Amino acid sequence: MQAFMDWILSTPPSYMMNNVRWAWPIAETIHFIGLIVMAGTVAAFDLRLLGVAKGIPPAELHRLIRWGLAGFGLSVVTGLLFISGAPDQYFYNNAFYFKSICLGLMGVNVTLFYSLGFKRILAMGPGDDAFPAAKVMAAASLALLVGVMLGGRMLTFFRPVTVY
Amino acid sequence: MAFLIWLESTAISVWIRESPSLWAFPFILYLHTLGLALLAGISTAFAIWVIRFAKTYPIAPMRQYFAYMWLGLAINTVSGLLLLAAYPAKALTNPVFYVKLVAIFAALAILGQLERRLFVDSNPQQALTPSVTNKRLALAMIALWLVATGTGRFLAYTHRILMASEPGFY
Repeated sequence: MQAFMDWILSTPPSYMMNNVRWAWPIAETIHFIGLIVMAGTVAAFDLRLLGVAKGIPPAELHRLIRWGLAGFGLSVVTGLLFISGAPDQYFYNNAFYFKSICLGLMGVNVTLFYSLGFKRILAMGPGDDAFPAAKVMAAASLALLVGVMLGGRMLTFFRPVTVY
Repeated sequence: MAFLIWLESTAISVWIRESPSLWAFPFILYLHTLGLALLAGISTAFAIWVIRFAKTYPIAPMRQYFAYMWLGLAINTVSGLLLLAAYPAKALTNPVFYVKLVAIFAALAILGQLERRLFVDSNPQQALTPSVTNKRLALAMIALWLVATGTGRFLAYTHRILMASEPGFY
């Protein structure tokens, strides 16, 4: 693990994060902007499946998801920059593993959603109720989003002692 | 400064700042992020909808999302005041904090305007393409949320004073 972290610390992104004066807060700002766009668009779609704004077909609200994907991309890139800047802060941090597990489960949930129920969702019209499994997946998506944010926010408070 | 020193010495301020409990500062900070996602996140999604997609279906059902945005505002008002109580000098002596506040109030004013213009002043039961003015308002609100988010992050890096009672301690 130490050799892996040493290699990470030798990379250009790590150098940038540790030596460019405003790199860390700029990356944090972009990370949060990504979070806002992803969480907002995904939540809007999930809430529709759970019965909010039923007059709009889910397929229409699903058009927002491409924006959410862009936001997710921003958060992934900046998240990797954070890890490159201080890998020990993440690899020895239980909050990071909690966040990673939530992200992994989100991936499983999204895969299930698109492989099992997406066609039925696209066929729904205004006022239609989502089928029960879609509601469960939407609720799981929202819960996992909340979990990702919880893990992310708790990172600071679960840092290894060496960081201080 | 005397007021800030007094505020820092109140029981709630000391508890949030010094308690080792995760329910103190860490949980309040988490609530602030959750509120951000609800308010800025869903209103940004709504603004993108207004700018890019709203023309095929009546917009009336979209008003239901405002309940979640206002819930986010309530969460962030309470959590923001608690975070401010914990480190009042850190925020109130930093110009960046005031930029953040102005951006938040301007974004909220636009959100209220959009709600009135789209759901009260026009007929939300008809499928309409939002006016250029409404689209510009939506775009301005997104920009203001970006400013509020950025300044919020930079607060941690730009403060000159952490505690009024310990002016030499950053």
